[in-house]
Amino acid sequence: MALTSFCQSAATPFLVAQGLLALAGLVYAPGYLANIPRKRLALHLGWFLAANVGLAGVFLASSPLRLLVSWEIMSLSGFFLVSQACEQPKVREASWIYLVASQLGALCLMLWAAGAALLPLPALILFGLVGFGIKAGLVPLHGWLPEAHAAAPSHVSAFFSGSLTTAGLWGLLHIVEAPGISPAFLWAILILGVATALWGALGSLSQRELKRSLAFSTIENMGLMTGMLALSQLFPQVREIALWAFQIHLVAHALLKGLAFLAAGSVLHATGEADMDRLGGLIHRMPWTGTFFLIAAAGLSGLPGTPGFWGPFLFLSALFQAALSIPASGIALGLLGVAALVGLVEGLALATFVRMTAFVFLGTPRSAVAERAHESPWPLKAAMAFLVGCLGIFLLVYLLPFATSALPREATFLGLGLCLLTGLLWFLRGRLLAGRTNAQGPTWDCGYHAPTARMQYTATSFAQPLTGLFHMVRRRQEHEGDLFLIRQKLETQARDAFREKVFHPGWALLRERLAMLRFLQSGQAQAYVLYIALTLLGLLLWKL
Amino acid sequence: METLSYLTEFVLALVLAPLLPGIVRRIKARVGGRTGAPLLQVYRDLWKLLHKGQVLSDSVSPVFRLAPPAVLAASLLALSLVCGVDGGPISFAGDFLLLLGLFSAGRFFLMLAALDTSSSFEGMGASREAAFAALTEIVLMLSLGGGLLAAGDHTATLRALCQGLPHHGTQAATALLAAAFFAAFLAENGRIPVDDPTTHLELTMIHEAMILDHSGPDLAFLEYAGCLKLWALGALTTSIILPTVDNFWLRIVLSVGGAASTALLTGIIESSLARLRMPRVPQLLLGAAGLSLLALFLLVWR
Repeated sequence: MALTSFCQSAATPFLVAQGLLALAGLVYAPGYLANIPRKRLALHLGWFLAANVGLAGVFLASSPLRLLVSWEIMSLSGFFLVSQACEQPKVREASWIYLVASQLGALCLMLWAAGAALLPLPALILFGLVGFGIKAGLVPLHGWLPEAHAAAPSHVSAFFSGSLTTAGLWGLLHIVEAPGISPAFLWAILILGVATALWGALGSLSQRELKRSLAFSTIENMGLMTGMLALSQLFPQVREIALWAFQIHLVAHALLKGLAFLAAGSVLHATGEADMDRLGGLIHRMPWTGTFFLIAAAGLSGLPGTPGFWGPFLFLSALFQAALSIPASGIALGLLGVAALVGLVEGLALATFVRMTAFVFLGTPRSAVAERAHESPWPLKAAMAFLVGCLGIFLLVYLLPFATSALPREATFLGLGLCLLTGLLWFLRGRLLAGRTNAQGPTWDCGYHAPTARMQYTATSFAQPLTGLFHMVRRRQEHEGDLFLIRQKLETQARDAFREKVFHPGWALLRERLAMLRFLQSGQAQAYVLYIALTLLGLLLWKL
Repeated sequence: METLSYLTEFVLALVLAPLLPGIVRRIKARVGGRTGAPLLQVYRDLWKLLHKGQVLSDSVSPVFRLAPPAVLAASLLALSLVCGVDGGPISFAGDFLLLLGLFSAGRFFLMLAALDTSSSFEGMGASREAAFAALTEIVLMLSLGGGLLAAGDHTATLRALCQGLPHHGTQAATALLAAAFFAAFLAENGRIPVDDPTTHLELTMIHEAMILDHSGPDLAFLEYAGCLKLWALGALTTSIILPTVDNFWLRIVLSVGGAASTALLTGIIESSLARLRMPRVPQLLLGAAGLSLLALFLLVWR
């Protein structure tokens, strides 16, 4: 393939994101997994490379069969990556969930690929949507994603979040571009995408574990990108903007979320504590990790001047422009409604990233492990610094030279202006304060001068106004105490309605029904021989 | 001429913005039967703060010190966008989204700084700010989208939005949209009935709680940024209502008068209402979103 046609191929952003995350992962892994035997590390890196080969195969596949084979290589190696720390029961459970989900997805994809000539188009689209939707974590098929991301080693989570999930988007890209797809389906995909984004943002706010919270934010971003894809097909007048939004956000999200996961892994490596309510103040002890996470959080909140700004900005802009081009129809109303939901998602994303940054890195440590934390070894820092460098290059090369008329250059300048002006005012502030009496003292607490770390707000309390407002992610509280309430225990948990209301009863029902077939397994060898003979007879009769 | 008018508007806004909170306070004092502080009190406060040293909390990191410059920078750029609506140099598809993005950027750093002090009052303030800001986004998207639909222009820019009201046959919808947008304006600026800027009880604060531990020039930066934000959103509100004019002097007068009259209206609202209980605020914001939806129905099927 000639270089120019390669650069114009739709797969380029996917491959760029994958390559950079794979490189960062290879630098990060030896430092992160320093305490496992070398042989196991080598095996782990082998699976990591195999997953990458499979993923690249998916993006470059020229026929459905090649796509399916690469898909399986990617999914199965992914299983061994998630189950790296398989001594822990939680990790084993997460790996099983991952395996079942990805194999169900693969089954749907086989039907999608094999049925191309046989099935009607709506059925095909549905199979494709489920198969690729599982990988992209579209609601209600997102259940595996937070489990796998929380259980996997952090460089694997980064790779999963930024790149493996985009294999689902790659498939969705082809589904929405299928000739003859009806607008009703595209509308359904658009609404599904925005609903996923909202669900992910709310889920992210209600989680206590840092990596789980980041994983829900991945679901949110996958939803936004799915919405961009559907919009690009629905309205030809904003097709270019929506596709730019998709491409830029794909790479920006991969780099930013990869960086956030690597920083979260660095925290886990230093403290062994995943619960945000028990961390805090780490920026004083881990300045590099803290700064890197702050950069990622600013980008993922979509602040102007960061690469993460463009995706949501262009998406919203495209929604408004599409609505204004057909002002006197219900469709305009629908589009503005979608825009309002995307606005809400952005507001929630800001809240969730402020929450992660503040309760892990700022304030006072809430536990002894957080107090004893230390900066991570150089491979971890190097991998994060590499991604920050990539982000800078991405910003300079891709966005500054006005690669396209779809990006308003005034917005670029104002974003840059925000960074420069902040720097200028920072300098001015320093000059003003130089030579004056500047003092240190305890934090103002209504005149109370013996504050303790336990009096601080926690991540859970920070999210309460929003999680309380949206009841579907409300926390469950369990009280347990003796007769005179001398000892009491309170446990809070974020719950996922789909897991509790759909998947648990669903699997239970399936188990129950399958148990009815148990009589077939009598334990007698003669019976099994009979089954074989009957099968052969059946096949013979069928072929006659 | 365009550039000159733009620059004049911008500089006037920079100079006169601290008057706005003065006007609001003066009106509240008069309605309450007091004389009130002089109109220029805010300038004196800012001047005093700029000449002071600072007291830093023991628990803060450089992020705390980064917040005031970042918030002020965001407000300055937001103002530069709004001043240009009637023919300045900056106008592009989706510029109102960038305006909201700039306010988000300021809020991001302010909330981080608040949480950096490890005070539970400031945590409470930041938590409320995050929740109400997310809900305000819905109102802003719907009301601005409705305004653009009413204006009948195909470019999604502030300039299209600010061609003046009322458009033919959309009076009812426009009134609803204006009410919804004004509710968002009050919420964004931390005004009654969402937040009370003059309260002395930390438990009931939102914005004031977040800046409890800032002092000296830092506090001056934040206060000034608040004045600029009030000016930017106030001027935007009036330029949405009033038609575009070409006369240089008239444009200046309209811009200054517009910001001042929004302050006047805010003062009247602040003296006639009490702050809502915190659980009621989402109802207010979702009610405003409902109003804008109603207006959208009217606009689409007119």
